[in-house]
Amino acid sequence: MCIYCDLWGEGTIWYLNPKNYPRHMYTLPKKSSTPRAAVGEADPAGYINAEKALVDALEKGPEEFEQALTQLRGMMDTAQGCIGGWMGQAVPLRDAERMVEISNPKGLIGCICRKGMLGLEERTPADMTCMGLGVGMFKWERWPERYKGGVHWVSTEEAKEWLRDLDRRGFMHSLMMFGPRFIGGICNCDYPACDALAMRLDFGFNMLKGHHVAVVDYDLCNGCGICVQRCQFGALKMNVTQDKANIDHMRCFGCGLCETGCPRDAISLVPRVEFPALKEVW
Amino acid sequence: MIDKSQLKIPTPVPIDLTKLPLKLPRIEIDYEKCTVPFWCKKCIQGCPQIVFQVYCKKLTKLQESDPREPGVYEVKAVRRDKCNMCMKCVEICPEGAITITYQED
Repeated sequence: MCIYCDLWGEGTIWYLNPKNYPRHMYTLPKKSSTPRAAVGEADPAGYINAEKALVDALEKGPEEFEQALTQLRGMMDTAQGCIGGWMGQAVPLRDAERMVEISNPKGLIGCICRKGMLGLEERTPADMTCMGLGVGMFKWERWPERYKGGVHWVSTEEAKEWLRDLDRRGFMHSLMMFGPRFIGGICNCDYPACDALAMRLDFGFNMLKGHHVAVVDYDLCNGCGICVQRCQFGALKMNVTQDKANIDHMRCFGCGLCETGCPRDAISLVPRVEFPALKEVW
Repeated sequence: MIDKSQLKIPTPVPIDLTKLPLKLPRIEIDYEKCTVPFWCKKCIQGCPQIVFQVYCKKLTKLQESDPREPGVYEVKAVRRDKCNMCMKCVEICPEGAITITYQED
């Protein structure tokens, strides 16, 4: 079980437990408080400086690196309430669709990672690649001039269609936690434009692996290689000797992109817990 | 309250700590020349390795930050570990604000 299922799962996968969506007594910032950034953008300077310090520590030595890593993880722990810096988790398309069924309201917003790392301003619904879930989104509608592009409300069916469309384009879905026990959004990530994913793959924190791993059926696989192109984690390689796709389960995040992209339905998602050695690989 | 000492928090570090310290290129940005990075965006979008990140430095309550106002946004060379010194950012910068150096042994 992942740490969050242990804590907040209550017998199911934690993101399928409706109790983890409404942030109880959601508060708006007080009038006297200093200007605050958008949700997930809390103190961008602090986060960017900590991230820069982590890279700078690579030049200093292993002790300094571990110290910087602990500091960054601790910062996310206190700022976002995510334990040990684990802020998000990879979610397959089918679970993302169940999440939008549970949560209300839902609004499309511009992605803050792509704004910072690629300079993209996603101002129209067609460009938006991030979805906010729950009551926190009312804040975005209230001050559209404050939060760039505002928010575009969607129904459950529209949200599912939007998720499927991004899945077709090859975005990997993940959930994001904005506060303790509060799932606040579904991100659609790719490397390296997604900061969370880049941090996870390069420095090993920020995004937990999902609850599934992908398995290839060698009888159905024809070696077309589409899944290899879609994998963001380098878990899929072409097994050239046998002309089949091969999945490294130690690297697989269970995002399900290979499953949804496979034209022959040769790939299926299997719960991680069915493999005893993968139980603690998160 | 959560007792964090009782939790088994996963801590994978995919970096080979025995190889540290690494030697990375030094990227200096002259902030007197670079004032409107989010309006210009050339280095952010031109870098093939996505080394640079831009963030809003000056937040005004209930107002969208104007990317054309000098000093509101700031660009930082965060992911220097990815820099391969292709020098595209140095060539592309209209203000000539970026310098990259690498100290050889």
